[in-house]
Amino acid sequence: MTLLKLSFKSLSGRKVVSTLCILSIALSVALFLGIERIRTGAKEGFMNTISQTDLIVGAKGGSLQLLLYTVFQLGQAISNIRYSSYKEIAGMDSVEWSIPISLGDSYRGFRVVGTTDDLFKNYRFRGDQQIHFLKGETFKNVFEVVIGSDLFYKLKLNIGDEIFLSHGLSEEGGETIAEHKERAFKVVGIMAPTQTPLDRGVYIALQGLEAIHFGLETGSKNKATKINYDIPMQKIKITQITSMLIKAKSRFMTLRLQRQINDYLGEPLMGVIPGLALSELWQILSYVEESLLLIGASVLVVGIFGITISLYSSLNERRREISILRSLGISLGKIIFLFVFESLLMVVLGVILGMGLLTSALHFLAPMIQRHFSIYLESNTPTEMEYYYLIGVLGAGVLSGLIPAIRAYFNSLQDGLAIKN
Amino acid sequence: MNHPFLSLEDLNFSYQKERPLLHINQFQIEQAERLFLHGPSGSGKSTLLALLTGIQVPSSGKIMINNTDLTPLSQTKRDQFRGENIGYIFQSFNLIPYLTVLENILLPMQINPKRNREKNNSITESANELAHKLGITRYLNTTTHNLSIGEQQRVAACRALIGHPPFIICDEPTSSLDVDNAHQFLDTLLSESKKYLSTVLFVSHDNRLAHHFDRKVSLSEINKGKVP
Repeated sequence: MTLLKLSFKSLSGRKVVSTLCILSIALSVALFLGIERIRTGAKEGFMNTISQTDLIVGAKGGSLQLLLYTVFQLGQAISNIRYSSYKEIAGMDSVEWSIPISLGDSYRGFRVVGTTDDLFKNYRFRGDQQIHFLKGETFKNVFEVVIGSDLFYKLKLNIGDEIFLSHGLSEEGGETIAEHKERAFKVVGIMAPTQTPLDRGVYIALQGLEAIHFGLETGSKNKATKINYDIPMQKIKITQITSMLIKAKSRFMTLRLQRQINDYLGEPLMGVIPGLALSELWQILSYVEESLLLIGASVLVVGIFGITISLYSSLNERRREISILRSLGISLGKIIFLFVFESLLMVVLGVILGMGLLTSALHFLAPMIQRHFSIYLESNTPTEMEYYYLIGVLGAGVLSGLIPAIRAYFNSLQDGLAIKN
Repeated sequence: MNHPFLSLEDLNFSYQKERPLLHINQFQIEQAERLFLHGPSGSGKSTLLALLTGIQVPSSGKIMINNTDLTPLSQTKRDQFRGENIGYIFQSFNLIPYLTVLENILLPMQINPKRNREKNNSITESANELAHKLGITRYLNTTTHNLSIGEQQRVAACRALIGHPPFIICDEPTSSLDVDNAHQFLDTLLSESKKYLSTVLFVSHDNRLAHHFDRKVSLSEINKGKVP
């Protein structure tokens, strides 16, 4: 008891140094855990961009490419698939649900996705999360559009606004090559943020996408013909889509379905299991994860060194103190305990403070980070790995106290009760 | 009770066998005796004090203090013995800087509750009493930084006397004090130790202080070892 009290007094007696030491530990712990949260958050967010979908189906080609343009809205499809093929596959017994995806146009750099109501009903991400509407509802007519949350926050689009879509892909805010000037789309729904690429999409009905391309089938517009846009939705004939998402009725059926699709006779198709493609893609990006891990670890090592240095540097001035304590009958073992306990105390305080810092920082910053970087951060639950790291930090704290303690032990043996000035 | 309080028999201490640093054939201090040990630097003083306090063990020979044979004791037992039986005053820098004056004085009691031979007063009362006699009452709750060297040594004396340990060892405690202060310091120290019949070993190179003591011994005379 006396020893613990001595430790506390000794720490508070060297207030400035110990406070700085605790702060440096706290900062490195917060930084390390923060980096760790971002790392796992980025990975989790990435791997959970799409869930419950068993197969992504598109024209034969690279599986990564299919994943990129269907799920991440990156790159372009080389060829489309026939709408009749979609209908046939979607109607198979083993298919529970399907979502058609038709790409190619854009609105101020945001991709236009032609789809059906099935997207809002069936698409799942981050486990069982579903698309919700911030405002409005899904499209019911040909020239209605649902926008992702990014367009609401960044472009300040709102319900009732009318927008013109561009033919082909356009740069964000840049000049558009060809606008579909003939008909405007009316915003009828705004999706709630999902922290997935869905937030960057502009969603219209498959029929809408067909309609704006009336007269463009040959590639350029025939000015002479007057096109009638006011035909009912059911009358518009859909010819092709880009890809589709499928959920099979069971895991077992997935593989059979994949084989059926890969062997499809009507046209060259390919079915990709998203989980596999995602981890393949993450493998490519793994250096990002590894460098984050490395930065985090270096930060921590510097913090631990701080403790050792501060204890070690005070060692000489504490030689006298140790001699006094020895003269009062404190054993060498207890002197070692004093040193180790002091460093442990600093580390524990540093860790607690660091976790507090991180939690409050996440509390205030997480919504902003989620909106700007689409990294989903959970602020409450430390991962199992983080506990191991914290135990590691405490262990390192004990070690960092042990080195000066052992030095103090040998000093004390050498000094006896003689005090070196 | 004819046993001497302290007795050394054929005491040897050396790092190398052929060159003993300290060799004392026979030496005794009686119960409650106040002994002045003249020990200029280089006379083996530090070694002797390390042996008497149980910090070091002799290479051979026997150390008896207060009916306890120190030599066969384990290090932990020797630390415990020191804490319970010995009050020690250093030449200077006696105080722990992060404790108040009172905390410094009470520290030995907290480390070794068995040290207390005081029957009538509580520890804090006897600390106050000692502080009053040594004239440091007004500093009790302050930090040690503002004290002069003389005041610091008086606090150290308080700490050595608290609990009234049977053996008080002083390692040149007055060397940094002026003559008046030194004599006054000694008077108080010796009169307080006399009340509880504590044995006092006072090591100094300053022979002018010897007349305060019952007996004077020169370390260079009893130490047959070759001091480098």
